[in-house]
Amino acid sequence: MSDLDREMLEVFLTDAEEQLTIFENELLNMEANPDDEETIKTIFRSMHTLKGSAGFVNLSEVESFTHKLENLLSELRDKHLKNNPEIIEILFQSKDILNSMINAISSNGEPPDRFKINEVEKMIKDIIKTSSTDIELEEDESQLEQQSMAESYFRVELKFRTDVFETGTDPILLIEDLSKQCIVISTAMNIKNVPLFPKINPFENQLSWKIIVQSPNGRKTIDDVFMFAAMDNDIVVEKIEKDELEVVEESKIGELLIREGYLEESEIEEIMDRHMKIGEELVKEGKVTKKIVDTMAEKQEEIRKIQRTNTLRIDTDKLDRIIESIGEVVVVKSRIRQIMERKGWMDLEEEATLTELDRYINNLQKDVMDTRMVPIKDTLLPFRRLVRDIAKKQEKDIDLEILGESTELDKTITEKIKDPLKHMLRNSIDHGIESPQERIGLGKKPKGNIILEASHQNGEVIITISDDGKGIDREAVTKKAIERGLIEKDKVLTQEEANKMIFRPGFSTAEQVTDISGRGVGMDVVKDNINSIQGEIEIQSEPGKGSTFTIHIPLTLAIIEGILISVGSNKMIIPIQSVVKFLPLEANKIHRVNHEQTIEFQNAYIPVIDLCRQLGFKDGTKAMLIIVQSGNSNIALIIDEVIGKYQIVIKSLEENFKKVKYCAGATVLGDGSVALILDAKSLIRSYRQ
Amino acid sequence: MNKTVLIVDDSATVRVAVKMALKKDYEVIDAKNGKDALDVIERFYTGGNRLNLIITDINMPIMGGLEFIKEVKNNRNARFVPILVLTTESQDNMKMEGKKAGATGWLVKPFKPDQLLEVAKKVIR
Repeated sequence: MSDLDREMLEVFLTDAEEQLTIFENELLNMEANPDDEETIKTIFRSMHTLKGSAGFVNLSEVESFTHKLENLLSELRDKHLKNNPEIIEILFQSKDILNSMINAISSNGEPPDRFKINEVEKMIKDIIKTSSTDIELEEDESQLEQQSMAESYFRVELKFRTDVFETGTDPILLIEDLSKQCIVISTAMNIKNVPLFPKINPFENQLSWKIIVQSPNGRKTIDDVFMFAAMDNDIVVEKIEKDELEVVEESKIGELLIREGYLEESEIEEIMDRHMKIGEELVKEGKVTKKIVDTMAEKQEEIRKIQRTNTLRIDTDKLDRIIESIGEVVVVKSRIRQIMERKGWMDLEEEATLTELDRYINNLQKDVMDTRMVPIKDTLLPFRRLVRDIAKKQEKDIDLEILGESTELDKTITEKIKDPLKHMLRNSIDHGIESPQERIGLGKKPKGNIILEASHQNGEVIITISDDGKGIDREAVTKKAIERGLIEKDKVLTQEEANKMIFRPGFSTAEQVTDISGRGVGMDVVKDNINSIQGEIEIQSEPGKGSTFTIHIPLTLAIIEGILISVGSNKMIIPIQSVVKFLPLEANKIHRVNHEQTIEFQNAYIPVIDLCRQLGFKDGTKAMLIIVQSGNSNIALIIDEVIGKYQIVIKSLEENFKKVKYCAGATVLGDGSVALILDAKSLIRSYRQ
Repeated sequence: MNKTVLIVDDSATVRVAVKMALKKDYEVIDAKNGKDALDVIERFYTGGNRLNLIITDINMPIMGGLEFIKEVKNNRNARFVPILVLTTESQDNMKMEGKKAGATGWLVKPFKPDQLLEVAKKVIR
């Protein structure tokens, strides 16, 4: 028995003795005045108290016996039974039994006679039977409950009493609780009843809510939240089907007002009934005849039919083909321009026509690209559930905040970032956020915070995942990197090196088998996934304060802008987001450091690579330097010439030819020749390793 | 500042059980019956403190739970403090009675410390 249990037991024994004394004294009173209501109430209360107390110290024998006595006494109290000497005798015997039960615990006295207990219990039962006709109805509810346990959607309507605050109930607290237990799909607050500001009574509630939630355990989760409030407030929980959630694209103002909870359906109907249809009104005014209106009504119906088929789902493959064709048109157009330029001159009309063509092609391209753009919302929102589940399993308390969910990007990209983001969130929960106890010890709020934010910046989509967890532990990373043989034994990593280390292949291993992911995925895999969609990932981390992962991804993968350069006798495209600067190549600016060529750029020495040699091309003029970047790294490439800016359609080399080192693909230029697209990332990566 | 819970029950066992269950997260003060509790509330607020939750038994000598709740609802200071009534399996109607009197919710005796903490967190602002 623990100290705590012992302490509780001692309190109980004193308590019990007190109640038994009251019991005995009142029994003596009862003998004199068998029908005195106060006496019966006091006796009932003493048994009730004793029963309650026994429950806390796990004395089930005392609890069950007092429960039966309590039943008998409540029959007396409620006058279902007339008191008589037989009952009083039973009560005296019961008191003796309780005394011996208590004594057996406090002073190891004789345990009560089991036979005697049974006998008294039976007498009590027999007496109650003569009075009571109560039949206990219960059970059979379990099956219903089971059904409602599955994950499902509900509409929760909350209409609280105006004096709800007086009952100590705070609607906001309940709604917060609901949003913790369930995933909130939408919330609408009705402020119709709120008076003008000077007339607001802060002690009264005038708000009501309609909330649509996805509940992990069916109705029960929601019922639990409103367990107390449901008894005296108007709270309706209604199951809805998933397709009811899909917002109707075109809603009439009235429908919206109803859905958002400002108006009741009947209120709209009432107003609508008062109004005649426009046609009827026009006929009445004598503006047109009824016949014309009827004809028009038919016409309207036809138009509606057509409109109904106006939205259709398109296979993204078809869109891709359209985009590809537009790309080809772009190429052909540049070829026309080249042909005309070769001719030596272009008259104004030709020039104007080409410019016009340019404009239409641009518009067309933009429109088609737009059709592929979807808000990132659908990708991000399901993570709330994921985070909640993982956090729960690990007994961590985590708030996931999602910002910028309306940011749009190419649908194929949303599909490709889903997995990397999922793994990153998992990693943040697994390795970032500490347990609530640890956090309290560190002086942090017990609840961890993860912010997932998407935004547009310079034609890119930026997604950040920030947590307020422990950050990257430099020492632990150093130790692990040495263990894995990734760095020399006596090397000490700087914080920045440690941050980068977590992306190194081989740093994390399949060791991290967790209950949730089955197998934790290393950040190297995440990085590869992001790189494969032309994206970049960076990390900032402050030990003890948390980490922020930033992902840069292009808006689309279908068409890119690039700089056309010539290297040796070949042409290459460098994607525009990789290009930092062009410089003429001046030999005296190139320095040798550790047998490597470097150049000073933005106060740092960056490597200089001869692209011809790197790719195995014939040497060219080598007149230019182009500085390219990937993530935080810059590198200078020696090239021959910069030709100009181009929009290109990427063609996969793997599908059409074979994979070429340091190339992300190829494209067909205006003159029909092929240019390779430089993959700056892989080049820089290979160089840095 | 620590949040404070007042437990009103004639059973010392229950009072101690509540203290034990909540002491990690809350300050717990206690009273033996409704009348004592009203005195405690009066003194507590006069001292510049405020209550965050009241837990009260129904069946108590001198002043029972329902009368006590009604008094609290008329108390200038404690009017909006959430109140939980302690009921038992056998007095299901007490949940309703308690709510009618102005309680926020209920808790069925005997309860596990975790259950109490969970319910307390539900109603404490």
